Amino acid sequence: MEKLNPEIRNQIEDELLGTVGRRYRQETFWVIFLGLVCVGGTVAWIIQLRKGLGVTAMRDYVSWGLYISLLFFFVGVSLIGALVSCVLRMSGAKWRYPLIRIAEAVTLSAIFFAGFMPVLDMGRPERLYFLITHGRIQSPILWDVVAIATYFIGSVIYFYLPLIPDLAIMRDKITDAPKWRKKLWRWMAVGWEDNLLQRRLLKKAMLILCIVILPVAISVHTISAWLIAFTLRPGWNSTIMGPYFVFGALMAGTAIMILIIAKLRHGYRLENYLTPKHFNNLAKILLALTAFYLYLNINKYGVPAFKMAKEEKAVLEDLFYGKNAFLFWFTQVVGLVIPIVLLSFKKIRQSVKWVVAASVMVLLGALINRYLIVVPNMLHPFVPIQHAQHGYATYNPTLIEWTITASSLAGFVLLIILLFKPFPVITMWEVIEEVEKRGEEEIGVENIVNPQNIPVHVS
Amino acid sequence: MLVNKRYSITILSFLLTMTVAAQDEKINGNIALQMGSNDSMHVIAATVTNINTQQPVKGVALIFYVQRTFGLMKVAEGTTDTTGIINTEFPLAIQGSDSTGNFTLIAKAEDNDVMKDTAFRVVIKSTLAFPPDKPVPRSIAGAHAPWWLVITFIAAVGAVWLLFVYVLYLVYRIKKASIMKTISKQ
Repeated sequence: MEKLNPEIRNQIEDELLGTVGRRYRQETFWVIFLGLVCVGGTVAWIIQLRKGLGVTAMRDYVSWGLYISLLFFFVGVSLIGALVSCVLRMSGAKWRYPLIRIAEAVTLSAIFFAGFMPVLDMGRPERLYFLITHGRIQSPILWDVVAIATYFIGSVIYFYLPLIPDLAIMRDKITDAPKWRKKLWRWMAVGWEDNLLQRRLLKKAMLILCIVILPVAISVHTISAWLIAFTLRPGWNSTIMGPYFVFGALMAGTAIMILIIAKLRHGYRLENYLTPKHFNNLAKILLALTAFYLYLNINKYGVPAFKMAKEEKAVLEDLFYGKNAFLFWFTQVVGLVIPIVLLSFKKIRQSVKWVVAASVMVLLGALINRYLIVVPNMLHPFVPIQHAQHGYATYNPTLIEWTITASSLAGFVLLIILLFKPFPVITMWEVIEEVEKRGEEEIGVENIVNPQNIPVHVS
Repeated sequence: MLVNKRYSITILSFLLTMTVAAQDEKINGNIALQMGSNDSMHVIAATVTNINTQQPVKGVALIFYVQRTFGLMKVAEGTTDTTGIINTEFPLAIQGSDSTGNFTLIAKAEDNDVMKDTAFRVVIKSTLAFPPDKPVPRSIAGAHAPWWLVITFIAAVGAVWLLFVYVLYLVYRIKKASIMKTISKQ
């Protein structure tokens, strides 16, 4: 194995360690802004807890509104960790290395807030305790809680494992850090010395977790889909829901991943590590997933629309040319068709700005689509309530709901920002190791090994 | 143009007058309900009469409902004949409204050309036995989880958590594999 010149190695480590604790451009503004939104959401939640769910627009018809729509969104986004860490690993994509920590951070933040959303939807959150004491093993709600908790713990471990060698580098190299932080790094680095046995054990642990986390991730999304597919409602009573959720999740996760790496690349000046090659490859994945999701949509909506069975008719009409038609066609055209057309062109895939633009469209579409999966179907049950009170058969979210929803999204982004405060954005040791093994091009990094500085590789 | 406008207003006034007159022509009706059963169906006989004249009223559309726990269930409908009677029926499988055998039957005339909106409600003591409480098994969502589900669930979740523990054990071994630590201890 060819080793990098120690000077170059140091240079790379210093450059990547430079992101630790550093504020990037406009970060203070964003942290304050997102923090304020979170505070607003907390106040709104306290009002909701004090006055009950009556302050929301959720009634007998729509009992799952924005909160559960956002649960499905977060659960979806969290699949990106499994995609980058496991699927790309198994497919042998070496360019994944600079992305691993970012993907795991997105996963961690998303699954944390996914676990929080059902609590927001509960009028009496303290009754969550009864799920543990009186939970029914045959209920998909119990499965969902267990799957989300398992995936969260798995994601924490997966975030931690590749961090161990980096923590050791931080322990050894950052000398001017506060004492408590150095102590924490030392403790978390578990005596890492980069010896052969430690490497072997770490790689074994990562491989095992990689194999385990993938079915767990898929189960989280499938069970979330079953939550609605097991309920007898028009539009939900379908066998396509599991794969529909999983691929929708992969699509939304890839889109948000592109946006976050674009922001980190620009903010931390990581242009050499997060290169157009990464955007191009992620854009290809996004193109494939978007096209497949469009195909699933044609099946999900087209097949019942062809039959127009009495029970499905009302919800389909609502989506096709009713109250929700604008949102529905927005998700199909702006969220799927236009990104597919855009990303089909090589030149666009190679442009970071265009890839980001397409991802924004996909992400907006995915976000709205979660709302459309939940709300219109709840408004058109098989057996409508006769003489339902005014306001029971409609759903217009209240300011409280919008505030709490916005604060959850803000909290999700804020947590990602905060996760990169004490840790480097890029997995240093893996990038260095793979550059040594395979060279820059295969990893997708550029100009990190300046040829002028290393006349020869030393072994 | 002015003539046309006046003409339009006259026509409109005439139509409004006609509508009000038609509204006034709607009668106050009375609905008498009789209920029985044959081998397979509940049988309803409803008679609609004019309250003022006591004469039968023809052409009144009625909808029949049975009271359920959370609302009304539509069971039949019909229109009165020249004798003011509707004979209709609904399945015997539709049982009483509560376990005491009371059968709450409601007949409603709504948006009718002949009669003002009227609802008639009658509680009949059904002689038919109320069905015994035999809950329908709801596949795996029943009261008790089937054994295979319990085992599958515990095995799947347990296996994943055991592997998490094993991974943490490997982290512990990484710590133990620290040579410097070993040397410093010696």
